[in-house]
Amino acid sequence: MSRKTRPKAWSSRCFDYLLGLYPRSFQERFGDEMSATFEREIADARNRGRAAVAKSWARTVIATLRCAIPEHIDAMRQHRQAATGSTSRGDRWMHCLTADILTADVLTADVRHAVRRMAAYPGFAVIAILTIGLGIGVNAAVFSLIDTILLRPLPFNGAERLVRVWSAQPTGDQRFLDSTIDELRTLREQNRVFAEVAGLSLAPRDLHDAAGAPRGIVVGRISAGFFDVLGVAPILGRGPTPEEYASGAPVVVLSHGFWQTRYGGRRDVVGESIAIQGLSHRVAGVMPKTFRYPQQAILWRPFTQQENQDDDRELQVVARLHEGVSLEQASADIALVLAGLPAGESEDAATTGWAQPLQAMLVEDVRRPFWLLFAAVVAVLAIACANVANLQLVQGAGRARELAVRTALGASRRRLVTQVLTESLMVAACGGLLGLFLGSWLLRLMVQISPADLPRLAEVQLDVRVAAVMLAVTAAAGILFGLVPALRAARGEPIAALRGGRATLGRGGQRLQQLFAVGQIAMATLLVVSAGLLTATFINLDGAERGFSTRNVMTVDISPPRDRDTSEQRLAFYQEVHATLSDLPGTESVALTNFHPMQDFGFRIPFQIVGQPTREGEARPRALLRSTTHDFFHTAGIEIVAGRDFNVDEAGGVAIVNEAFVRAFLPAADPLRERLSHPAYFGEDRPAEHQIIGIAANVRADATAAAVKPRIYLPYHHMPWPRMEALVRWSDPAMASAAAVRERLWSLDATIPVDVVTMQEWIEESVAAQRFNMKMMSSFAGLALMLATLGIYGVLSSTVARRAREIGLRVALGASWRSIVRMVLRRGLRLSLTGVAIGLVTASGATRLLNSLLFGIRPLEPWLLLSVAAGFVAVALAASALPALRALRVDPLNALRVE
Amino acid sequence: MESQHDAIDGHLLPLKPAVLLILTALAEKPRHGYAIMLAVRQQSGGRVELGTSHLYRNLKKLLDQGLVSPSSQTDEEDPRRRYYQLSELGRRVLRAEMRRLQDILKLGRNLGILDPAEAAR
Repeated sequence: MSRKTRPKAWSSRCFDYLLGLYPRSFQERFGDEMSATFEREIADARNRGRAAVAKSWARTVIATLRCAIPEHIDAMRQHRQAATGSTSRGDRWMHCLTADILTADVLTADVRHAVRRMAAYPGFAVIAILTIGLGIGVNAAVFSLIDTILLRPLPFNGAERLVRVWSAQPTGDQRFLDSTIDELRTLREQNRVFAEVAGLSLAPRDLHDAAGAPRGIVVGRISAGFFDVLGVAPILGRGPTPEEYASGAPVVVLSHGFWQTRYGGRRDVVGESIAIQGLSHRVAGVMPKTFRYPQQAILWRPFTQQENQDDDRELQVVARLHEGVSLEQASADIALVLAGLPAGESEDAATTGWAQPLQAMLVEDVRRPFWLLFAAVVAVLAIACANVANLQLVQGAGRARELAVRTALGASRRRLVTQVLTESLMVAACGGLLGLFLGSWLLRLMVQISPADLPRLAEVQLDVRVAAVMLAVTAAAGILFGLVPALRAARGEPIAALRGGRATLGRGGQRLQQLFAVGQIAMATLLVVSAGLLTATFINLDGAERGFSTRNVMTVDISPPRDRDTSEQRLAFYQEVHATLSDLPGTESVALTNFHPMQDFGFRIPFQIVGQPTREGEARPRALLRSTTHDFFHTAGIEIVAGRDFNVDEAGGVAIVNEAFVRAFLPAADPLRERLSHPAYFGEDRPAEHQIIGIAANVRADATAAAVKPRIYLPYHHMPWPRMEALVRWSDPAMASAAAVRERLWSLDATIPVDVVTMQEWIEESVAAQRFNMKMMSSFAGLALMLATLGIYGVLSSTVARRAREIGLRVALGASWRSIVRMVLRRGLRLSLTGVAIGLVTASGATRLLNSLLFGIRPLEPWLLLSVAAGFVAVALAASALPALRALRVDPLNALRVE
Repeated sequence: MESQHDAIDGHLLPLKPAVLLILTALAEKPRHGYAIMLAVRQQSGGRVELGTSHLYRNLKKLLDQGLVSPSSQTDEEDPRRRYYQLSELGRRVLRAEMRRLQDILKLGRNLGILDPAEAAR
């Protein structure tokens, strides 16, 4: 436990990566101890100076690689023996491999030889290591994200039995409804499938404490047993007691992040008092870092007595299944229990329900994009593998002579194979290490640029096992193709190799090389097309017409001071705010509204069109209620498409509705002649009937949403909300300043929290997921393109080298330089066109998977496909240019003399 | 040459140099991993430096073979550390190996490869 909490030294973390290379059983048995021992070892080395530290590290890395492989083989053998109870021939072979090939002397000699070769051909080594490192790095990082977020069970006890309980309508219209207190109570009392049931609802609140300026927070209000359902206990202090739950006591449990940022992780914060909405609450405990449910909650507290009486449908119900109960059984039981409740008359009354695994619910939205990103990095790895194999082929051909000489001098086949193996492994190991470091760096980067609402970010860490598997794949590719020349040499063809002066690749090798190049280009094409689609999506979304202006507008979240509690006092306060902000230099106009245009939620008021008959038993229609000042439409930049805007002095009896409202409820009538009425929610003295005076353009907070919700705008005098958003439009963007806004408002009252966010920031937040997808996919496509280019270049270079003699001969016979260049370029062009064609055909099928992630562009956008193809041809030509130039420089005399 | 190796231990011999030194270090008293590393370095006059990876790979084998067993001793300074001790079998194997080496020394002396003084040292 103490080990987990103590911050780890850099060296310990690196060593932990290395430990990850061992089989799990070995790690579990010795991991902790080995860390402890290594910490002492390195501390000891540090005392002896830098050289000792470097030596210690080198020894540890090499020794780990050497020990981890036989340990894995041991583990596999034990596993198999446990399964079959015998040793097979394969096992004995394995045993021979571990005992013999990896013995120290031979290995040391081979390692030395390999290092010498790497030093002699640094180009090969550097490119191979970089290629492997990049391939492994991106894969390790992306897979670690996927593993943490999608695959690993939630960091809750017995997470697989946790479900989110949804209320629903039997008609199937509304499958994802939150629940009411009544439903929660009934479920808890009558269900036969859950060990525990609890509920939570979120509410924005103001916080005042000694730690800083007042601010708005999101409070998770929880029912008894909430933390027990999830099986998570506070790491500091305690959760609310049953008595505190019952009485609705003012105690709070802080989220880890808030505890860190607001209170600097002070342990003595437990027991302190903080004020929420002016009420004093005692801090009872702090939750662990990995506990972020729901994401938005800053702190949690029990429902108050009054909240326990509420009938709002805003409760998120979570439950823990009894052992052995299936989801279907649970859903059936929920439906049975909820069917017994009275339906009520409201439109969203739910009489049934169902259970969804909690994990599935949390990660629903990111599942598809993440798997697509994973497919992309696997393609990058495949391209990297092909590059390494390619390099090995060329290298192998180049060393055929060396191997032949050694065979002729009596080296055994096994020695040659072992040596080539060692070299490939060395390159793979260096690449793998680079990949690990790159991966952990990339992962940190990805977490930084990922959307803030990405679930489970706090848990993300690099998964070394995955990196090891990927490394094995890459190493295998290298070994496979590295072995070809060694085997050929050993097969007894040394004479041919000795006689042929130049490196040759053989017909099969050449064809393989071309195949690799074509495959690489095809995969890179696919990735670039995907990246193009996601980029277009992002650009379309970012610039989408939303029906309100997104530039030069700020939103300011305001709630009146606690002592201004009545409607009149609030109204007066809002008028002060309006006047004060309007006074700020540089503002064009200021408006107040209960929800700004990017907030696509809020109270849905039931209403009636006056004069339209209502049918018995049918629920009343509802629409989002917006309570605004008269200059709202101008300030927000929303067009009034028919009728007129509110007047300054209009306090009630008039309403503006949006186009969606007209389409849904008044499709045939002239809306401006209609009146609507609603129950007298806002006091008997307020009008409950309103003349529709205008129609406002639809606004879209979510540009991808198919439908826009009907809205009713009423003058805010009608209902001064307990919180409002001020919209400030600046005539002079240079003077727009959140600090000035804050200062102005605090001059009214220094105790109110003021959260200023620009409309542009709201938009950015809303497209954060698309921005992330675009950035990731573009980077991978760029990487793929780079590696594929390297592939084309490699093939052409080796072609030119191989055909130097032929080229020399042609030049000697009077061929023009043009024809030589054309010959090389034609070859490059043929490879790339084939690759691009295959890539585009694959893309036409594969990009359909992207369809649900796209906006404003079709998966098969012709201009995109054409420009990708053209781009690739250009890149291929550029990659061919260097070898072509080299072909020109072939000196006919030299080329002919080489033989 | 008196060959008194126990039949059961025979297949474990000869011991690899690192293993011999680890067993010797544990013959003195139970030690934790780092202490074994120090002892090995000291006993070999600095010629054998066991790294963490090799130490634990060897320890695992010795534990599996039953030559070494975990000791109940705990460490105040670092609770992650575990102590190991020589098992009865381990002690027998170590003794057998040392006898084997002694035999070889004796052989060297008898054949005049080593001068007696050097061999005795």
